[in-house]
Amino acid sequence: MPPVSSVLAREVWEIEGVGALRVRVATREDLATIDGTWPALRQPTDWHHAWRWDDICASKRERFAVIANDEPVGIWCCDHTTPRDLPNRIAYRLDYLEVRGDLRSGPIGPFLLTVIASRALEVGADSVILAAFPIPGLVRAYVASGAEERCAKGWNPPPKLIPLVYEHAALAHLQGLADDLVKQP
Amino acid sequence: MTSSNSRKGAAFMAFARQVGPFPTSALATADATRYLQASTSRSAAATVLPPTSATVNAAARHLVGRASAGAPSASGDRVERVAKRLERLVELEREASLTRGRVRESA
Repeated sequence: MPPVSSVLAREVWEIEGVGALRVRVATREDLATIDGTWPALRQPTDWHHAWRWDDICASKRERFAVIANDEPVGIWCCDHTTPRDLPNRIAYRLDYLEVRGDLRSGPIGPFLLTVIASRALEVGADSVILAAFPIPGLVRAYVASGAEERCAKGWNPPPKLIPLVYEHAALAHLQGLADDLVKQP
Repeated sequence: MTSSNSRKGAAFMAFARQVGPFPTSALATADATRYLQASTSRSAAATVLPPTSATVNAAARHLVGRASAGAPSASGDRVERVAKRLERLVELEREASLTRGRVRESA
């Protein structure tokens, strides 16, 4: 499968206290690094101890890693390479994402959301749909970042997960926040 | 960062504070249940003992009770289905007993 391309790969962002961040299509080496080091950084209360990104990404072209100091610090992927055509919307369905466990309380998680929004808009989506684990505080964090807790019409989210939607205005806001962080030459 | 970027970066930092720490490093998934189920199955195989005789007996009693309750109108097919399930339960109980023995030996 040919890799996807993204204008995100040309940018460098800078966050105070974190340094330079890049986004690239997740390489085999990135996935190996993540599977080799991230599981130990997950919390006992986490639900996703069985996740192995090499398996998850095996058939996915739409997979990106956020890179700091040449190490992955965040990752997301989608089953679908192109946005889904749902009634009244073209949705980028976010299937998996994770932030390195020791960075969960910093700005990497919010930054990941901003570049995901940028990617969704880049491929022509007008919204992002996702389903969250029913973990206390998680939905609140999504809502605080601009998501709405409801199911997009025409989408059947997996049972026992909580459907969320980022509408176009929220995506544009997130993209603006990411653009503001682009490092000037 | 330039001073202009620093000001812009402040908007992002305010946003990050508003979002707050994520309670889990896996922020979301639309299809994670597949992997959660796989995980549960694997751990169950390693840690959970097979059903006990009491469990099997209780299931058998439940089946017999249901068959008896419907006895006046029960069709031959229904009785046959219940009989087959009882046979399967007896078989399961036998397998479970053997497995429990093996688990105890290896413990």
